[in-house]
Amino acid sequence: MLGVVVRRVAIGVPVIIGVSAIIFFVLRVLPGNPVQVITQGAPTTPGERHDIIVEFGLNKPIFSQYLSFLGNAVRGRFGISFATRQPVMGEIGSQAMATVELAVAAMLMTVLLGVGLGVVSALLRDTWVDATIRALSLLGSSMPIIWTGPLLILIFSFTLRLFPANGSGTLSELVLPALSIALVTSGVIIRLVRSSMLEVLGLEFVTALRAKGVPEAWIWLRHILRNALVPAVTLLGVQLGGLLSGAVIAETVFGRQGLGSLLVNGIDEKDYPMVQAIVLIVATAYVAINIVVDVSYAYLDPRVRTQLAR
Amino acid sequence: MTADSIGTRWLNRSALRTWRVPHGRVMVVLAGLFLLLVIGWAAFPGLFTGGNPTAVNPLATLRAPLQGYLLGTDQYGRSVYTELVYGARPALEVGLLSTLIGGVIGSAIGVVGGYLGGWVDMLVMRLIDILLALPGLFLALIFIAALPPTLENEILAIGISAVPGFARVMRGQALQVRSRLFVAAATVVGVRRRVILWRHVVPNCAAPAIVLGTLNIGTAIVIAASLNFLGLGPSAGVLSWGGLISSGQGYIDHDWWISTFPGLLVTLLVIAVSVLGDRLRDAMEPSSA
Repeated sequence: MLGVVVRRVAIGVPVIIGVSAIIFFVLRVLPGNPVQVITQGAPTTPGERHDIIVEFGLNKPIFSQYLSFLGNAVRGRFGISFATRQPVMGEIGSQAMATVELAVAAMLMTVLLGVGLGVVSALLRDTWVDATIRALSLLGSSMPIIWTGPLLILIFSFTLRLFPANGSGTLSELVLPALSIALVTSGVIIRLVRSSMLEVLGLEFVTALRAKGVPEAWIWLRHILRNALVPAVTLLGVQLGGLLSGAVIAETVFGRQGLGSLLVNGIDEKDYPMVQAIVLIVATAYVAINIVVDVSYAYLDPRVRTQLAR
Repeated sequence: MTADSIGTRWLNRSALRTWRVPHGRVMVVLAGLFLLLVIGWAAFPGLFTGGNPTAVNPLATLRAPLQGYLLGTDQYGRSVYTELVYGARPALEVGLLSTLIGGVIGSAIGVVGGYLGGWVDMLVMRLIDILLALPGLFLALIFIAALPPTLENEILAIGISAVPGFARVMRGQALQVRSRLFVAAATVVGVRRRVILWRHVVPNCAAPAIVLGTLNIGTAIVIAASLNFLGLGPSAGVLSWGGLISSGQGYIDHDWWISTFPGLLVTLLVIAVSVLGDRLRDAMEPSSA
C-alpha cells in the first residue's frame, strides 16, 4: 500500500514542475508587454519603467525568473499582482474556501446523483424509468453549464423561489451552482454504475449467493453495488477535471466569489502572477486528488493493488 | 437471462411498461439533418433569415417569441433567430478548425511516440501527463490569457487543449498497430521506418482519430461558447452563441428566450455530434462496439 503511494507521488512531483514550466513560459514568452499591463497603459517615463522592471524582477534572465518563481511557489509565495500591487496569495487565500466548498458540494451531488440514479436505472432496467434516466443523463452531460446555470436560476429562483440566484456564503446559495456542475459530471457516472451493476449481476457468484438463499436485497446492497462501485471511483478522478473547469464557469454564472472568478478577472486584466498562481494551485490539487483516487482504488480492488505495486 | 428476471422479481416490474428511447437509425438521421441545417446556416445565412444580426430596433426590444419574431428579440431589439443563424459560422469554424489543430498535433505526437518507442515515447508520455494535469478549460485559459483576444487565437487555444486527449488515444493505438504481424514483416524485409510509419501505422490509426475528432467538435463548441460567455472570447465583431446566453442572463426572470434558445441550440448540436460520433465508431471500429 505504501509502495503505491510513494510511486504515485514520485510521478506527480515532476508532472507539477512541468506544469509550472508550461504556465510560466507560455505567459512570458508570448507577446504582451508586462510593464504596460502594470501601468495599465498610463504614460510613463523611462525611469518609472525601469523601477517597475526591477520591482517585478523582469530584468533578470527569463530562466532565472522561472527558477525564482518555482522556488517561491514551493514556499507558497506567488509574487505581486500586476493589477492591485498586493501579494496574490492574500486574495487567493481569502477566496479559496468558497471554491473548495463549491467543489466538495458538486462532488457530493455528482456521487449522489450518479450512484443513486445508476442503481435505480439498473434495478428497473428496460423500463420507462430506466429509459428516462438514461435519456436525462445524456441530456445532462451535453448541456453546457453556461446554459444549465441560467436555466436553474429561471426554474428554482424566479419561478419556484426555492434558492437564491447568486451570491456565496450560505448553504442555500451553494445548491444551484453545485447542481449545475453535477448535472454535467454525473451523466457518465450514471451510465457506468448502471452497466457495471448489470455486469456484476451476470457473474457466477451472484447465482451462487441466490442458490445459498441470501436475501435478494442483501445481494444487491452488499455484493453487487459494492463491486459495481469500484470502477466508478476511478471515473470520479477523471470527472474532477470537468468539475474544476465547471467551477470556473459556475462561479461567474452565479456571481460567486472564488478562484474561478479571480482567474477570469486575472485573465481579463492580464494579471499574470494571479493567473499563474491559480492555475498552478488548481493543477496541484487536481494531481493530488487523483493520487488519492488511485490509492483508494488500489485499496478497494486487490487486483489493482498488485498491479500498481509492480 | 433467467437469473436476471429472478433478480428483480421483488420490484414488481410488470407495473412499469417497457419503453425505449428511439435510437439507431432514427436518431442518426435526425442528428444528421440537424447538423445539415446548422451547416446551412453557417454557409448561407442569408437564405435562412432576411434580417440583419446587428440591426438594432429600439421599437421592438424584448419581444416574446412568435410575436412578429420567431424566437423573440433581445434587449436591443435584434431578432434572436437571426443572431443564432449568423452565430453558426464562427461556432462551426471554432469547432472544426480547433479540432483539426488539436487532432493533427496530438495524433502526430501520439503516433510517433507509440511507434518509435524508447526515449521518444518516454518524452511523449511525460508531456501527455503534464498536459493532462491541466483540466481541459485551464489549458485553454493559459493560452487565452497570453494571446490577444481574436477568433484565431481562440481557435488555437481550444485546439491546444485537445492535444493531450488525442495524443493519449493515438499513442495507445500506435502501440497496438506496432505489435501487429504485418509491421514486423515489413520491418524484416527492410522497409524503412519512415515508410512503415506513413504506409502502415498511420492508416491503421486513422479510424479512432476520426471518431475522436467528431466527438471533439462538440466539446470545442461548448468550450468556445463558455469562453465567450466568460467574456474571454474574441473582443469585437464576432457574434457568438455564448455571448448571447451571457447577455440574456440578466433578463432571464422575464425574458427567458434570449438565453434559452442559444443554450438549447448548443445542447442539441452536442447531442447530434455525439450520436454521429458513436455511429461512426460502430461503423469504423466494429471490435469496440
